[in-house]
Amino acid sequence: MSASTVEGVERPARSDLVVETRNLRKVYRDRGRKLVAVDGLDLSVERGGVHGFLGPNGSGKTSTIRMLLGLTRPDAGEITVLGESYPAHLPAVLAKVGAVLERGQFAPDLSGRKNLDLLARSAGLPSGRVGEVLEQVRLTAVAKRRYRGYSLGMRRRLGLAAALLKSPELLILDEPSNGLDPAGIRDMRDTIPRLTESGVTVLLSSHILAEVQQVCTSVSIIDGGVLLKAGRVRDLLGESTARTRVGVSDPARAAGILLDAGYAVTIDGAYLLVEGHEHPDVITRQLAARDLFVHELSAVRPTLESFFLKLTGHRPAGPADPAERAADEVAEHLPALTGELPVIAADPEGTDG
Amino acid sequence: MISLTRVELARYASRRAILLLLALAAVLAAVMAFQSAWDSRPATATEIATAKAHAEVLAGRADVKTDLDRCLADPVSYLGPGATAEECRAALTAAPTSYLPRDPLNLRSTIKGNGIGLALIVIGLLVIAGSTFAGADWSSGSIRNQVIFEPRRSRLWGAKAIAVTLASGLAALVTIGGFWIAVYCVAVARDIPHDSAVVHAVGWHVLRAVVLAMAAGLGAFALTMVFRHSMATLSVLFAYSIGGEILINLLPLNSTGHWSLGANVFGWLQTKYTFVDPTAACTKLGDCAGPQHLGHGPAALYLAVALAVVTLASWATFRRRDI
Repeated sequence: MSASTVEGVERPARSDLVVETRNLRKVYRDRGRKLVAVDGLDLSVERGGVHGFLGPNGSGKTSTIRMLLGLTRPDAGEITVLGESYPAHLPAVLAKVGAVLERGQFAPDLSGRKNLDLLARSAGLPSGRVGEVLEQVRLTAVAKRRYRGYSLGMRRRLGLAAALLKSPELLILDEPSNGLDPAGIRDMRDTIPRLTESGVTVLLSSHILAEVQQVCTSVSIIDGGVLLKAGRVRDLLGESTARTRVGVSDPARAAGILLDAGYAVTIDGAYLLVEGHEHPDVITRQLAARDLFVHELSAVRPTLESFFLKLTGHRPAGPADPAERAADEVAEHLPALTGELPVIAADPEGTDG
Repeated sequence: MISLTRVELARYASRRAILLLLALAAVLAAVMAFQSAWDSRPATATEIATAKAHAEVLAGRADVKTDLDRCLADPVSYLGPGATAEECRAALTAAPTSYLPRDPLNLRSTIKGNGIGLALIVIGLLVIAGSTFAGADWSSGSIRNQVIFEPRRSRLWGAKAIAVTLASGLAALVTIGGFWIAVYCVAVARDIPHDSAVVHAVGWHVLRAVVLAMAAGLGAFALTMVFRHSMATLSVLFAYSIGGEILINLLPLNSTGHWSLGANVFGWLQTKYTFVDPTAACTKLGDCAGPQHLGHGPAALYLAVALAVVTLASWATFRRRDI
């Protein structure tokens, strides 16, 4: 993923892009008031892998996704998806695009299978495909149950099943983990990378930054409807300038040794923060050679959250609705599993952002 | 398009609320058919004997005899030009049938009674069903998925419109047609006149009711696709029908009664619909316009124009709106 307008990031050849927007603009009008949701967005998503689409509440993420899906019309700008421009080739393009939107999108009175069956028939897909995708998302056992009786996790999985019906080349997921319990979040996190193995490109919008950091190969960060930064996660977080936290019996002496060796060292209480090394083992070797033995060594990498906050200036804010508060609580309890799970405020209405 | 229409028909038939409305229409049709048969059941021997007794009592009254004698003496001055003594007896002699508790079944009068009543009820229920059909798509958000799977919005709107029209027509045909088949069978069983002219009149009535039901279902669907909420549609229809009547009466305009929705619905369903126009000019007492007539043609034109405006607005809105 890349965008030519973003400093230091090259725009890939157009043939490598599954999504490309140029100068995309969307303005909502409400009782004479104008709200610019997307303001000249240049977005590029390379083929293959999982691309994260990040932004604080009201940044224009959902508006952009809706424009990509033909649900909303842009006021200006160009959209090219899978090499075809909108709106001329919208039907042909959407035949190869699957989407899971944040809010419920099924008839509550119908069973999961019936909902999928009607969608498959409307797109001229073989009915056998319904059984396949239900199996793929492990919903076969409850397929005959009414949608209104589904748990949130089941609803998300049914949404994913619907998105997979068309055997898409591009899968757009808008907050797929929102409101899920820890098992559901982990399930979704395991599922998303699996999808890319078959060549599907995934565009993932999420406010759970740790989720994005774990599953995405590249990200685009937007705010105020404009692209702030785009690139590979590894590049953005500066893997090469990772820091190491070192616990040693004589921090002052150890700092001198490491400074002499050419590393940047900061003393943090009883610990050292070391930068500028290729791999942590060089630290242990340097210190052991001077009879200083390390009792703790841990990598301190910048997180997507810290990068995001630095970029947007937005601090995480509590989501408004209980489901999202639950997601926050889940996030708070998951660091042991995932490292860190920072959260950006989500749009409770799913109207934007 | 046929495949998409089948999908939308399946969607229509799968909605629980719609099935309940259709079941209610069928139950009401059955109840009204039973009521028509029951309220016109043949008089019992006791009822006939009682009626005869009442007639004899009346015939024996002095004032009635006096009136009859006067009429027989000079029928023309009593009943008017051309009157005969036979007509005097018919008019002033109490017949036992006048004292029977109910009239026998009459297919023509049933059209104006339970026939029109049932048609209005079924059409009302199909309006709610058509509105629910579209409203559920919007309230559940499933319309988004439908558009993602069929991005050609005109086709999607068209398939839904055809489906709701066909389903409304079928539901009206089954319920209203079923009612008339039941009533016709009762008439045959009781040996009540059911000549071809009567059957013809009933047939045209059923056809007009079914066509109106199709239009009403389509109109309700189209309006809901504009408002995205069935309650908004039903409120607008209520305001248009009831509020429109009030407005027509309040406006300082004469002879505007034929613009009311109700008058045109009756004008279409009923043959030679006659109504007193409340807005006809009355400059002084007794100078009001007489009863007005509204034929099928003008009523059909009024309803067709209203439907065309709503459906075109709905289609155009759905093609361009953000979902």
